[in-house]
Amino acid sequence: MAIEIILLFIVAFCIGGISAALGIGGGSLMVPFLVLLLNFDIKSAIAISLFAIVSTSLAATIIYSKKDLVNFKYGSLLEIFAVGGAIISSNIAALIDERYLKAAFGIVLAYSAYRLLKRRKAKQLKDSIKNRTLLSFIASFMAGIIVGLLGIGGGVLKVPVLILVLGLPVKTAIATSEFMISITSSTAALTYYAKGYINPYFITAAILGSFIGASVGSTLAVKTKPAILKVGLAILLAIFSILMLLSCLGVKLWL
Amino acid sequence: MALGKSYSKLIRVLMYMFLLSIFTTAILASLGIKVGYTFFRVSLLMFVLIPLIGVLYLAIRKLLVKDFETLVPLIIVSLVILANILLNISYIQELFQCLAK
Repeated sequence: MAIEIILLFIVAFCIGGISAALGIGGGSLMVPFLVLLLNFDIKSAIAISLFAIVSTSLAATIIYSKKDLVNFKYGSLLEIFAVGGAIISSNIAALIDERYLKAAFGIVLAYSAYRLLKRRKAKQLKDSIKNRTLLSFIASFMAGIIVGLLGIGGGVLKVPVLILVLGLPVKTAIATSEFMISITSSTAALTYYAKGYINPYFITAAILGSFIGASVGSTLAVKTKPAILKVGLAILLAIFSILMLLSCLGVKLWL
Repeated sequence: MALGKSYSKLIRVLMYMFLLSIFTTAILASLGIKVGYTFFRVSLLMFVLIPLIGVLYLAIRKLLVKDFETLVPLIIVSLVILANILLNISYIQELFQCLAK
């Protein structure tokens, strides 16, 4: 178990660094790494990922709220729906077959990779939005569902809603999204904790690794070109997506 | 003090406190001390409850300045999270029973 703990710490450290550099939660990398490379079952991997996300999003919230960038009004309003979604999905995740979870994960990863590479013009989207309030509530609820079911932060849905639908500036939207992610992921993590999917030693390695990695990553991010990181991440997500879908069909490419 | 800054301070203090507690109790648990393992699990539980404590703190601050527009969603979020805790109470009860022993 000691080797697994050390490996998990290293993986969490690297993912924490990449996530901080790109402003993402890191769950979309953490879960496939644990399932495909370290042979964890997907529900334990999701639980570990959620704890790591709580750690990184809290660390980010500390910095952003110190600069008064978090919009608590919009954040708390949207969080009602996100928390609701997270509670429903994390409670039903225990009942869902592992293969379906892997398939859903593969699809979400493929979509994330596509989103990273191809972005629609913000103005074009902004003009086409009609019922803003309802759309923001639905998107928050869906983000909550993703958090509880797949152990991903859900920032991929929350940030666009805050920018395009509610009209917040980019920095405020990212800060508010981190505040929201900390609450949603902690709610889902609590459910996985209560259902006994956690190994405290693995969780500790993930929390500490991602926390230290995020601190280093945010410093290094200034020196690296985000475009290179984004393309690299998109390729990695696409590979993980294919491997996850193959894994749900019972195909394993290594021992 | 501005709300964002005081919230940041609270979260930072709680986070470092529980991280230190997790690390210390993890060492005790790995040495085979049973109480250490129970406290280790309790520390992890407390760590995951930091955002809820933060939300309650924000709700109190908003109540003091009578900002009901933000207060109402904060209270609803707190209640929903508490309902989830009650839904999964059996495991947490078991943990505290271990502590009582």
